[in-house]
Amino acid sequence: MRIEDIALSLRGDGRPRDLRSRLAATAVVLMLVFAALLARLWILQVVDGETYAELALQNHLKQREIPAPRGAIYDAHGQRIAEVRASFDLMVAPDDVDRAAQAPEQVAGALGGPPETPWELEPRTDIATLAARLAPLLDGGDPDALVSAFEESRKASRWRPALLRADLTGAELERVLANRPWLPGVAVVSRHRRSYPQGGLFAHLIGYMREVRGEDLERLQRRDEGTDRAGWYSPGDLIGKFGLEAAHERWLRGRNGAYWVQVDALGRELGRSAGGLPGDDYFESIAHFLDRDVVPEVAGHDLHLTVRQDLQARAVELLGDQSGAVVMMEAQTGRVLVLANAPVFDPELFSRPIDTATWAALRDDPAHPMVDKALQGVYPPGSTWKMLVAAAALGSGTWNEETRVSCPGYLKVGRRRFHCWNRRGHGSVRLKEALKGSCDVYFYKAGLAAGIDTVAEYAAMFGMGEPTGVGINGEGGALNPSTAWKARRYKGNPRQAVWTAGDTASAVIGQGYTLATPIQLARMTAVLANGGTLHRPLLVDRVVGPDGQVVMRGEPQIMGEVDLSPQHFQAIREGMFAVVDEVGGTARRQRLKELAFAGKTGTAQVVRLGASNAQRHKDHAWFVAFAPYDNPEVAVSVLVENGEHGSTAAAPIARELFELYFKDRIEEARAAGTRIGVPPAASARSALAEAPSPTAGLDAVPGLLPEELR
Amino acid sequence: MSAPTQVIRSAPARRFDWVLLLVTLALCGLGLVTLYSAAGSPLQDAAPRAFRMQAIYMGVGLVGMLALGFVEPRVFEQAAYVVFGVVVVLLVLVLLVGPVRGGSQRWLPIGPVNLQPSELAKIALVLACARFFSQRPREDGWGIKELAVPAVLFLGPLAALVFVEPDLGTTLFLCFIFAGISFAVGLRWRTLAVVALLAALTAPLAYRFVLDDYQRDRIDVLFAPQADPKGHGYQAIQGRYAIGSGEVLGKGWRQGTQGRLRFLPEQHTDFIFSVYAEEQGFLGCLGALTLYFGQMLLGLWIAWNARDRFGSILASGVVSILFCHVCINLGGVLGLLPITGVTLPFMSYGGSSVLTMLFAVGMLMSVSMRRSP
Repeated sequence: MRIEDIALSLRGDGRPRDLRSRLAATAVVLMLVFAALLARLWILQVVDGETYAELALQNHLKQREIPAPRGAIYDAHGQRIAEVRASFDLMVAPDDVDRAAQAPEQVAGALGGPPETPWELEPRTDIATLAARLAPLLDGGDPDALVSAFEESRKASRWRPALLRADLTGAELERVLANRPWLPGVAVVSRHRRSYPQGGLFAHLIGYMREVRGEDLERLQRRDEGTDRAGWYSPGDLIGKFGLEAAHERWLRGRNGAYWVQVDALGRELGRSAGGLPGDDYFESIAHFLDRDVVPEVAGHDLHLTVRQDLQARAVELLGDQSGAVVMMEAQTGRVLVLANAPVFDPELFSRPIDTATWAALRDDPAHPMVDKALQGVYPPGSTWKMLVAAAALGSGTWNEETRVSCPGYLKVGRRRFHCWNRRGHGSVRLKEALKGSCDVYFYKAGLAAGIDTVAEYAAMFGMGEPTGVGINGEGGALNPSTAWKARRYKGNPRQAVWTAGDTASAVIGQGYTLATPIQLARMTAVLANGGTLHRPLLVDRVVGPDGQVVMRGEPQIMGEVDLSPQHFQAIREGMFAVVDEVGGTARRQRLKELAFAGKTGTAQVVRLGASNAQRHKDHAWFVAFAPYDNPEVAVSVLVENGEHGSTAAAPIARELFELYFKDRIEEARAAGTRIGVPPAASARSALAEAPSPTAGLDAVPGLLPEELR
Repeated sequence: MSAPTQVIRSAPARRFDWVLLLVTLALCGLGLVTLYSAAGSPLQDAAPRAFRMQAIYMGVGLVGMLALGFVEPRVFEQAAYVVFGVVVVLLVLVLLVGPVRGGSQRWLPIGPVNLQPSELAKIALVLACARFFSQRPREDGWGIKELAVPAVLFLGPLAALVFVEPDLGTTLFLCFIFAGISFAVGLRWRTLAVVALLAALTAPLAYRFVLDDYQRDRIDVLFAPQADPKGHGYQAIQGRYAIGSGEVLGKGWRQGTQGRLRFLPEQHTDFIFSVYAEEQGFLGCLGALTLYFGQMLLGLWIAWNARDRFGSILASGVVSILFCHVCINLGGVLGLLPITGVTLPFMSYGGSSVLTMLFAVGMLMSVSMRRSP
């Protein structure tokens, strides 16, 4: 440093050369920091840029669902029995409501008159005021309930609209819309809702839907992982939980569509993809980072059933306030025409939150309205089992149709007396008379002669002891007992495991261990009618896609053939015909002049097990039948719980269903004076049988005929 | 003795610094354009209010900058202590009558404008130090003992008054500026090393005993932003998403989703650079950083060529204000330093910040116009 500079520096003037070394050092520091910042930017934007771009995309693009309408369900004649309709739900977005609640005395409940000027109406208000204004517009509206529904929803999400009232009635909708100016922030949103136009008529068959639960959701996600069904369900969705809704969930549920919305940091929707519609300026403007497409929704498939609404309605009507079930099917195909239960329930009850009182009432009802008795109810079949015993005795060659048995009113098996329901005895009977009068002694002896395992073998051929395979509602298999079964059942208790002659005597008249479901008995009757072909009961005729294409057709499916000669089938059918058609038959009162049909009554003792002394209830009433007698078309089984007598409680229901099913032909026959279903050769015999038969004994005396047999 | 005579006799060379003006205008332009996007709503096309206010501030600031540029540096030198005194009085007034907002007193409401005297304190400190140091050249550099005098006289009152507002950030900021000027006038390397070592040793203690919880959180976030992504780490993470997602070319002006859709808090003030980075990409950032550091290097060049010691130290001081602002702000935004409330000059929204920066550049311009031949 020169002396001059220092001198100048001391005066505070002159070129500050002494500072220059530090300025150079500072410049170096600046360049280093510049390089460091640039390096950092390089890492963030160039090296990791793609990662951050994707993260930012996830930040602001959210997928929203377009709900797909569920498939409809039709009866055999195209009547809608399950459909999707629009429901109008009352929503309010928390964002559009003032946070600060007003003091109760300031809440403006009354609605104003027509606004004088638009400025009179506030752009937004608080929830207490909204609730006070909404409550009088809704049927049974309670302001406090509306406020708490809103608060609940806001706790879950502060921007998702809160549901204040689902499914507004037409009148409510009108009132809300008319008062919209006073209801800032309130919106009416249309959504799909499952509805059942026939009410509870098909409740157990169609089933119901419930909100999918957490564990179901996880299970479904595991199951569908990697398939095109992945992600089909999200919380809040409804899923079929019972009946066809559950069994055919895959067909009925459509595929939800999706669109993308741009949301801001608060989750508010700013714009949505419109699926490449021209003029979607907003999304075109962000298209460079929007490579995701709109997925259109696909409606569910429609089910066309084999059941008939008219027959089903009649069956339910005839059951009335009794508890019971009716199954009717085509004898030659297994197509189910009626699958009715009583009492019914309202299937729509379950698609929204159900209150505990309603649920408890349904659950604890002694008539068990939630149980599908036709498929899940296992009952002692009573005398309807006797045809199977007859098939076993004839088919095994033990007896023939002419074998005679003398019925003194009881049979001593071991040291125990087994009574005939008719304590005075049926006298000497062959198979036909035994079926007609439902002689217990005949079948005790037939069963003992053939042996329980032969009976079980033949019963199995008729589909007993196994679910019929109808495919819904966790169908029961019931019980077709045999020595092997009992040995298995009481394994480890050798004394009880031995099958006794007494067990056989009980089992062959459909008591004791023997159990069956109404649908099993309907199918058994169909097999008797068609001469030995065991069909799988068929419910769905066809599945139709949203484009109208039939994607699946329900074809009759043969599950087995009964190894029994046509003559033996005919012998059993003749006995069943006599039950209805001949004097002394247990269901003689149901005889139709224009239609010949055959049937069999049954009465099942109900014993409550576990009570100190077996407590007896009123018997269950059964009736199985097919029609016409010649060339049978339909088979039916009717169960009336605690109906006491098959002939009075159950048989009339079957007869009325036949009258409806054959309505046109019956009228024709009445006009022509002919009879449907009578084989030409049998006409003479049947006419003969109308005269008092010397063998009919006491049964033939009108007035002395007891109402029921066992 | 010929050279000094020449210097004294030569009339002040009035050469307008067009380069500095252009660089500053470019930075202001970038700032305004970015603010239009950052403060705007995605659903409205109208110019946001913050944009209009900022444009007014910048207009006023640019006029002030040019006016200051035509003032003789000697006037600044003479007025330095007066300015310092006025700022001290303003800072006292803030504590006496300033409204409490967010737990601190930082503003003086003057009519419709809220003045933030702590911003002016930066300029006052630079002016006072420039005058003090320019009259006391030390050939053997400055040690701690010698620096105690200006530290107590100038840094002390300002830092103390700002600290009790409380505004720890600006307090530290004033210390950094003082350190920068000390370095420029010849702080001894040995002293620098000792102070740096002491700072490094006491930092953990300060972290433990001096800092508030929220300040500790900010330091924790620097090292582990994912520890609390919805809370303390939110700003850092969302800022990183914004900057990174800009990639090389950026998403385009007003097309940034992070900023436009409000995922970034403070996006128009302290975090405006992440909006800029998202929309303009790496190339845009390269441009902006070049402008910032170009401006600072120009400042150093002006200090190098300054006609006298006061001018040189004043220019160094202005550079140190700019440098501290850019470094601390970008360091925070880019996740290299803890997030602090330091604005980015010419870009962040805020009248006091804009005016202070432009006035500082105005003083730089004044020194530049009378540089050595």
